[in-house]
Amino acid sequence: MTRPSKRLAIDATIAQAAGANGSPEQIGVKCRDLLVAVRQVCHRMLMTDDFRREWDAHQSNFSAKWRTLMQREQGKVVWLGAEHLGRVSLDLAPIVAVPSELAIMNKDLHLVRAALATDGIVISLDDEARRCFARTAVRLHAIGAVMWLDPRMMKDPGDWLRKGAPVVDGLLLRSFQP
Amino acid sequence: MPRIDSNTSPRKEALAITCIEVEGYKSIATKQSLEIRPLTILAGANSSGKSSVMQPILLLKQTLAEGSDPGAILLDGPNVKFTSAKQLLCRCKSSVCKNGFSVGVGISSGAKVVTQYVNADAGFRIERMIHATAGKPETVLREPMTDEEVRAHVPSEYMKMFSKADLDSQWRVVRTRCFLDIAMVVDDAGIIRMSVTPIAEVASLIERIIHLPGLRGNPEPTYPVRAVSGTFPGLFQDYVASVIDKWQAKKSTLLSALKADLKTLGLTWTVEARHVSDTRVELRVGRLARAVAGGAHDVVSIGDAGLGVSQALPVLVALHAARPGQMVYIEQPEIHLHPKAQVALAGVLAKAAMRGVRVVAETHSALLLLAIQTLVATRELRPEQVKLHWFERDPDGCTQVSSADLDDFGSFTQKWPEDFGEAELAIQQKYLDAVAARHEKGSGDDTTVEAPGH
Repeated sequence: MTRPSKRLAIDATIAQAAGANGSPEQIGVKCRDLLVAVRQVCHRMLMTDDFRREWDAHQSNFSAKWRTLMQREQGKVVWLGAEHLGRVSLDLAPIVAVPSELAIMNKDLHLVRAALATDGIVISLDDEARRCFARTAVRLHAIGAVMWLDPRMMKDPGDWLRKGAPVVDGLLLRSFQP
Repeated sequence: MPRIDSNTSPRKEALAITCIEVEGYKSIATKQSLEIRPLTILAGANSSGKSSVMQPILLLKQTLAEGSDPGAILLDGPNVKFTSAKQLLCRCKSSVCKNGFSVGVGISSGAKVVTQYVNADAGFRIERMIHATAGKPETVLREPMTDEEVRAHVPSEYMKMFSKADLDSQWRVVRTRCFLDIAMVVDDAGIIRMSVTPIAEVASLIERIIHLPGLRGNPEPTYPVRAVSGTFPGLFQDYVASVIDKWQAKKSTLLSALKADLKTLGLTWTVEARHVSDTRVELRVGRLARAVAGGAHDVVSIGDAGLGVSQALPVLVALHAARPGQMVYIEQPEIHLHPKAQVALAGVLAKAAMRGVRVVAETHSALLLLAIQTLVATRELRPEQVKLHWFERDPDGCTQVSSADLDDFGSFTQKWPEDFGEAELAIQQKYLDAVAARHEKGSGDDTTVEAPGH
């Protein structure tokens, strides 16, 4: 049986945490398991210039090796160009009034844009960004359909990936109670 | 390295081996075919059959190179050594060919020769040989065949030519070392061999294979003088000193290229040959990796240099000595090399491949493989010049080969069964998880050792 393959917007926070060996909540272990499962289950990783910059700046040695293995397998890293991202134009400035919130969201906007252009899934540890996007989803309905997975919020993210990474309603940005 | 110019018009390619097929040899129970491209990588676990797939070709090489006729297969030669014919037979349950083995060689002209050998009289005899040239049907030769049977395979122009000569003759199949050929046996005149089969081309390509085994010997104070031509019977390391001596005497640009490669690999800045007698040559290398002012005479015997130099030098010399189309088979090109040198070695292999040399490298180096993929991604090597073969054993112990190509980005286009990098990732995960688990447990069973000086 062919396993469903999803294109995932994986944040550099995951890449960084995957190198940790003693952080709270065993987040390093969870992130490593998640990355390994992504590759084993044949899911794909999204990549844009913004993703690359973020990963290059924050990835751990473990994540760098994992990313290289992904790149060496044809089709496992999906590069999104302007032709894909151009269809997803998100201007947050008129909607987000608080400058600090706007800065947080702009920093992670590439995750949401890439997710909207593909299978709608962001995997990130950035709680603050998630809360900001969730608040904005009330007014900007398009981003409400994005599923934002923080591996700490799921008992076994590897199992979810092995089941084909189905959309979990409770993890959609519009479902979070800001 | 220069980038590939896509507008460069293709040169006429030299004749080369393009395919190897082996069946019934050691762990290779069923027919395994390897496409040979300018840079062909053989990878896989230990004892998975990487060397076994090349050994039959080396058996043919040493049989062809032997001074006197050793029979169809020379079992104990410089390239491959057996004490009994049974040692190379396949013992897998699924083997259909338990009493012999077959070797096929395809070449770039489109010709192909497949020869079947069977165990007989403590050695091997040729059961049959199938050959085909481009666009023509296969021909099967065996020993013996009647005059009438052989005539069916002789081209009409040959028949006409010899019928005019009115010779009292008979057509026969005769063994030429490890191959069969067609010959006309003339009473009182002997045997006239025909060039009906492509064995001359195939044999020439096999004889010219340059073989660098995984164990390239200890560095010696001096080496015997050897004749240097395009063919190197036996093991190539025996010729290295004489090749360098020849390049030095001729002031060949190949010596400069060799020194540049040694520097690229960070091994030494120079190499020179010095005759110590009419029969012995000494190899001397720079003591330092880089040349320094006033250090022109700062050289030492290769025996006093690091193993990395003495083990890599034969590889580098072979890659420059090989002519376009010639195969250089290197077992473990990376041995004794620092990781940085392994990465640089990929560029050296690629340059030889782009010159038309057929480089076949058997490797366990994750870095070498990744560096080759990087050369493709940086467009310094064309993906169609690279072929990857992965070896593994099935539960019955039989070798199975999976092959893959690279795309424009250096990624595997087919599923690559197990990446060397995967082993690194797995051990890294295991290590980090183990440390995390210790932290999770707390300090109860944890012994903290302070670093010295704290």
